[in-house]
Amino acid sequence: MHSDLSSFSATAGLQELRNGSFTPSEWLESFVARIEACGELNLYISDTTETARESATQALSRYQDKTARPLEGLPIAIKDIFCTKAIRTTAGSKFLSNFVPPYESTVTARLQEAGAIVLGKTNLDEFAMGSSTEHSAFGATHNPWSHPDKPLVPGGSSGGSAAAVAARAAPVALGTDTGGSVRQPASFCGVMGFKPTYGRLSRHGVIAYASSLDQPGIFARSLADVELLYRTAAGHDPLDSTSAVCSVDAASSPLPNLSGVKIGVPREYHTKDLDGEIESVWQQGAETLRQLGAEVEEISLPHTEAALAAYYVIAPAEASSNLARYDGVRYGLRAEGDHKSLDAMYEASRSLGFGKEVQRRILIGTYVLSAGYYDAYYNRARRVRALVAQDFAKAFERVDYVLAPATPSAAFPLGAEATADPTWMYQQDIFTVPVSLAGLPALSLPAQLNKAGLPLGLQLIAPAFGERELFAAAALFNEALDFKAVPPGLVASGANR
Amino acid sequence: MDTSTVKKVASLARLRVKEEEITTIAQELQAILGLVDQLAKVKIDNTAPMTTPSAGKTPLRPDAIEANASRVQILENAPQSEEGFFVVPKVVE
Repeated sequence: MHSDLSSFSATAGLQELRNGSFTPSEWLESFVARIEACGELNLYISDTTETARESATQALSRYQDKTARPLEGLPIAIKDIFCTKAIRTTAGSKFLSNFVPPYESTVTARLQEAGAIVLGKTNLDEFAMGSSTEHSAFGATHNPWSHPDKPLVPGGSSGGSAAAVAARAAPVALGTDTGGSVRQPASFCGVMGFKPTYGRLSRHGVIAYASSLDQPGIFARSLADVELLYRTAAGHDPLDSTSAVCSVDAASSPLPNLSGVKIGVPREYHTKDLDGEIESVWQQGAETLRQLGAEVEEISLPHTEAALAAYYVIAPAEASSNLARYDGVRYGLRAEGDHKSLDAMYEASRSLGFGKEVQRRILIGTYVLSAGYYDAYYNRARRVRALVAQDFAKAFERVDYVLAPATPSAAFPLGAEATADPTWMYQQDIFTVPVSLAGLPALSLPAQLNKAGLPLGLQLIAPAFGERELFAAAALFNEALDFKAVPPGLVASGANR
Repeated sequence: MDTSTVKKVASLARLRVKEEEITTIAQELQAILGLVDQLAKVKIDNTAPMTTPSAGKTPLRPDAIEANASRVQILENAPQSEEGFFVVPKVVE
């Protein structure tokens, strides 16, 4: 019996299960213990320990009778925005605090059909709207890298998933990325965060925020784990009309070096808000890629700042439309009281069930879509979106990948946002939003700790559907970055154990 | 963004804003619109709008009947139901 099974990566742990070094139940219990030990971080909204224990027992029989599936016995954490059949799914909202889906999302179904076991549903910003996981009806999640007397945010909106993987309260986790909601918390928590090409992972059963941007993503501490989960969950889904019609990639093959590979560094990402330490980590990252044989050159993405503006029109516009379904009739919360009309009941229920940030985005979205403003805001934003996509298309004529910081700063203190202008938090998304608008795949890798001991991440951005090549290049880059730090209180045991 | 616009937008969105919060909300929304106003400076010429990153046509699936969640399962999530129906407040105009 090993003492710290919770530090095994998914790939390494599955190998040990196959070898019989430990059982699925033993592996599961190591995470149940970690979730309990990390109670104060508020990582999970719901845990599913009981059913997970039953599944782990069944997984052992499958190993014994040689019918084990590829992910047999792998515990996974799931952002509480993926509908899970018969398991409460809240989207971090009071509105859905009692919602129990009668169906399963495609991505979670595929992982479970491959043998994965659900540990629980992780905390998030309400309806994925936020960058700090403070906008949850179930309380804020704390970053495992913070000191107890000075709590930091884990990032968001998939903050619970990112923090759970960092704290060894799950080996891998699912999130969703609309404008950076996987890559930014991954960077803040010192883990890997991957957003695939729009259309690669099905959105069926993922509670919608902004449908033309939403994309399921993956958190892990090993690149092999990212690829394993991605390849298991990918593939066309007839239940999502925007699901890409293409076959799942073959596994990536290792590269000897990056000779012949061209990396672009966007000039416009040297913004005035960029933290000096991140600037230097970015430069060192470029140097590391050069040492691996890549050519690094400056490129231009001229519509970077405008991308942020376009995003904060398009995302709220789609949100205002998507969230119109919450009417207090068919599911979710209904305000008590003697309502004079149906409209009065809608208004009372929506105002009671939605938090402040969600209401703010619905109002902005409704405004930019309303008569008289539609052309100036929504239509103009869609045109700027096309220009943002063209910027990347032009860049990818010259380079194979783009190297960028994941965030302009390290994790910020809990409560910092409350005292700032609402646009301050929006500015945090400057390096992640353009990729989302263009629908490209991007991987955030932990690179270094800053002087305060907090992780900083770098993003590798690839052309649409370039995942297989991205994983191969990222493997070399990740090995060279050699990030092995673990949050305070945890014992380092090697990133790829 | 004035207070009457906030009221109008809130009513379109079926949200009820408290009288004492309207001024703050108007200021917050104005700050967001300030960020968004950069859009006006972008030279867009004849660029066609982009609605989705999806390329090409979205495929159709066969229009076939499939087993789905039952009425009972679906009504379990309803705030109020009776005899297999959703119940809403009585509306008499």
